[in-house]
Amino acid sequence: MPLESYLLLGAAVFAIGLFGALSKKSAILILLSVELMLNAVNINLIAFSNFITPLTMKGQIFSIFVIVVAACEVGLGLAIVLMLYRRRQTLEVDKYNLLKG
Amino acid sequence: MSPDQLAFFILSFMVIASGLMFLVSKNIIHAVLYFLLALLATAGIFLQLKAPFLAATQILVYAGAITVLILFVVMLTISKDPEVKVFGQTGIVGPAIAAVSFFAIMAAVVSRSTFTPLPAETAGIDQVQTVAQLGMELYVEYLLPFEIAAFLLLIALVAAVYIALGRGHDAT
Repeated sequence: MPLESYLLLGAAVFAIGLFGALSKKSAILILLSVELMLNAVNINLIAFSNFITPLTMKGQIFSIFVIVVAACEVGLGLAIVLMLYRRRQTLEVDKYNLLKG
Repeated sequence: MSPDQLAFFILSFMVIASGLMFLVSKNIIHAVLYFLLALLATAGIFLQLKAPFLAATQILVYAGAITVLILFVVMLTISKDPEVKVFGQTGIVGPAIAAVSFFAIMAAVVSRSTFTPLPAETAGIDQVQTVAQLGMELYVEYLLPFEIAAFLLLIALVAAVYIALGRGHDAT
């Protein structure tokens, strides 16, 4: 398959993640949408690695670090979600309107 | 149609279809499982791109760790009356415009670009990439970033435990 089809797949997955992160109601699902976007970036990085730098595999190295950062983000994000739930008894982001004035 | 193309079409259909089902499913546990399916199909894409180590890491980290962690949090915080509304008060028009225009821009850019392998690396086009090669690159060339990433994981672990302990949370 040509490189372009992988890039289009990555763009489609990123668009799905973007839509989810902007429109979802549950804080957990917003976090998962961000993960989906990071995953789309990984698809692009590995496709570039395979087609542009096949010898040194720079894209694969980079995507390993992206996975590390994604794991950190999920760990911290879920801790924050648990704390929010303990304080407000809800995970719907629409209910967090304390700063509305 | 060659087997390569067939595999790509099946896998990318799985990724996009389960991504869309993740967006529209009303049950939050179903949404998490569709998310998992999208990531597993992505692991198949990685295998097709000759990145077996990344495919294994994807399955281990996402299916083994992240999804289970998220399912635990979902079950800890599940509400008494399951809310059927999927989307928040921002509506879906604005996000849909953002997502569709992003995809259109990316498709336009990709279709106008030409990609050629780096001159120094054209020899590797048909070469099989091994995990051993990747390990040499990671531990020799990129040792410092690797150590920094390990330290970042440690910091995130300590911070997650500290936040989730919720010291003084009843002061709200």
